[in-house]
Amino acid sequence: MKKNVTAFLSASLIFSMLTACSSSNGGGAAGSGSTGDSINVGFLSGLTGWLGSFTKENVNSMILAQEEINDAGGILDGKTINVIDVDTASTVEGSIKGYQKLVNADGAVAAIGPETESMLALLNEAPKAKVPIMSAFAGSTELDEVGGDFAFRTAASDSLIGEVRAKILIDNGIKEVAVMVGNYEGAQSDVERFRETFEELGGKILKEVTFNIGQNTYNGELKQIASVNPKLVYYSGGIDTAPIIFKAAEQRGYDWEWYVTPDVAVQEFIDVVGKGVAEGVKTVIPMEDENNAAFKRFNENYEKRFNAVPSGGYYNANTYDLLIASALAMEAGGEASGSAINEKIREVTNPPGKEVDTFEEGLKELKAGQDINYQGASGPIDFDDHGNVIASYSLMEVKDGKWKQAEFYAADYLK
Amino acid sequence: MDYIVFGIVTGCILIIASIGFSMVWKTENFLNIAHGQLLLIGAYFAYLFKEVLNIPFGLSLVSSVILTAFVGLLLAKIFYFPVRKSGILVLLFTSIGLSWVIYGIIQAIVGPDIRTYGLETSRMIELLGKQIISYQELFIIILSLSCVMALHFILTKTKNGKGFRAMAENRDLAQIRGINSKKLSDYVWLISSGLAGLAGILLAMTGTLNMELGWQQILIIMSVAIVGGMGNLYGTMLAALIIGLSMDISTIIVPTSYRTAIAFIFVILVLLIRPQGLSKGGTA
Repeated sequence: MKKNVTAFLSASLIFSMLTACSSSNGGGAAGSGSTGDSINVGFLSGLTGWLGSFTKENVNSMILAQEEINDAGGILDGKTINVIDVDTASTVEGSIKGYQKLVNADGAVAAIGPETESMLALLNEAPKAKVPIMSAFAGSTELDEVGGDFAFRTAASDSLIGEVRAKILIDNGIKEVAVMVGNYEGAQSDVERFRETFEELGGKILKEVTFNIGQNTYNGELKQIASVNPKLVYYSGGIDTAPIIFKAAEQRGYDWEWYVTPDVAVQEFIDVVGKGVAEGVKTVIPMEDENNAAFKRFNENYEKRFNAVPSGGYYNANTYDLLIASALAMEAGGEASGSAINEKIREVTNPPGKEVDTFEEGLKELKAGQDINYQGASGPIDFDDHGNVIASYSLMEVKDGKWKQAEFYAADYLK
Repeated sequence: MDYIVFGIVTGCILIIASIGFSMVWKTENFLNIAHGQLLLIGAYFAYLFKEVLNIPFGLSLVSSVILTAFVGLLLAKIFYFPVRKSGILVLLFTSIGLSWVIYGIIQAIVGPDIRTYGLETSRMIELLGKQIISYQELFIIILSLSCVMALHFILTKTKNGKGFRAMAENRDLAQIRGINSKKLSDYVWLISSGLAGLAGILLAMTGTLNMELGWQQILIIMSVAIVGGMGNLYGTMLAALIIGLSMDISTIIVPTSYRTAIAFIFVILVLLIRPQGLSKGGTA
């Protein structure tokens, strides 16, 4: 009789082991540690797993920044940057193991790349290890007031993007929405500020349905949304769940207008959902200003180097900027260390100082003893006390099977 | 009514995914963790046939199920059969290791991208002006019922089926009675792996094809098998249906985020009230 209970306990134990095993995916790239002539910088992110679709281009952005720095002669009298890719398998456990590898084995000076959950998990560790964690896409509101000391991000906070999204809907006369939100921190955070602002501006959330990832079907969840008969539904979840939900909604003839989280604003979403279903889906994403000279040059150089156009809104420019800004901070600090980055990154990216928009230009001015204000490809990247930046935004819409910009909102839109 | 239909669809997919797991548990006496990754293999075979080789979906489905069945048998012959005598713990850990090997190899081949079979969104069937079920969901239910009936027929009417039941009760005794346990074991692995492949295809058909498919399903598969009662096939089928229904119907009362938790609360309740599972623990 007890055999079955034992089997259940064994099953639970096995699953715990499996989960633990999954963390061992981190690591894999070789690194010989920072040597006299080279400085190791980690790209710590999910090269596999759900982040894999994003990070393919982010890896290229790191390479682009690395080559620009090294081609310009490096920093601190000729030291070159060596980027070490560490795959976290898009798991927090993978990020923690990967971070430890970067700090202890590779002697890296910074870990660029963690997503929201990993940033939160490493927040206390980074100041102790004195190796900053720097994210190009961690938007969580949880990070709004806790970063700034060995934790920086060039991703716009969800609080800002949530406010922008709410204001855009209200400005477009949409006063009632339903929300489908994933049962994890990134998705919840994405919705939190949106909900508050939308209601403050006179909007009404008709229904909010939280769903788990990895289910076979989401018919019950959709039925609950349908029960309030919304005109517009906001979806905040992963790209793995989106096709099941969107296809089922289409199948059942739910004729809703969809807004989605930036997490699924990628071409892959259209490919897996299908052009017909995706047509007309909208999203508001932090978007580089196409008139920004640094962004134009970044796109040109990327295309030249990789023979492919970087996808706007994939945080490519944000990733690139983190490495350039870190290198300039080390040069300004006079040493190749995480502490130098932590201490000087605001000094080289925030006003006052001469505005520069390339690494080479920044290096030249720093060598000449000038203060600089690096203007990034992703935007002005002025870090506040908590390591956040403000961004400009785009309203994107799927038209003819492609994400296309419908409207651009400058960084001062909320003002 | 809608929620009952949703629950039946969820349950039907679970039935196909869990039966094979239960069959192996019953005959080999260990939890085959790699069963989840066989779902993944089947799903990617179908993708290969349908999207890469442009073979019609029906044919891709059948070919993939057959191919997965043989891959499963081959893996069993290479990894499990040689260590069978070392005990169930060795088999268990071999299966965990094998899971990671399969996962790693597929990932190396297909990469992290999420894929679909590119099937048209199926239409809904209406009854008295009310949407009841989609053709795709009906297909899943019919397929699942067909598998259940075919399995019932094999177990009760064929010599191999009876042999399987005997072997599941007592392998040594069955052998003494002249049952070719080696041959029967091969059949079990073939059927079990083929069904796993089919479940993987159905899951990818209703949702997406991603690398986590196998890991996402294995825990719920184990729960179904345990609630069903120690590898009892009919118990497993009943448990799959009950768990599917309880998950979907529960969303009327409790928030949908607790949907999966409901399944495990159900498992705990069954184990507390009826530790032997829903059935007595026989074969079928």
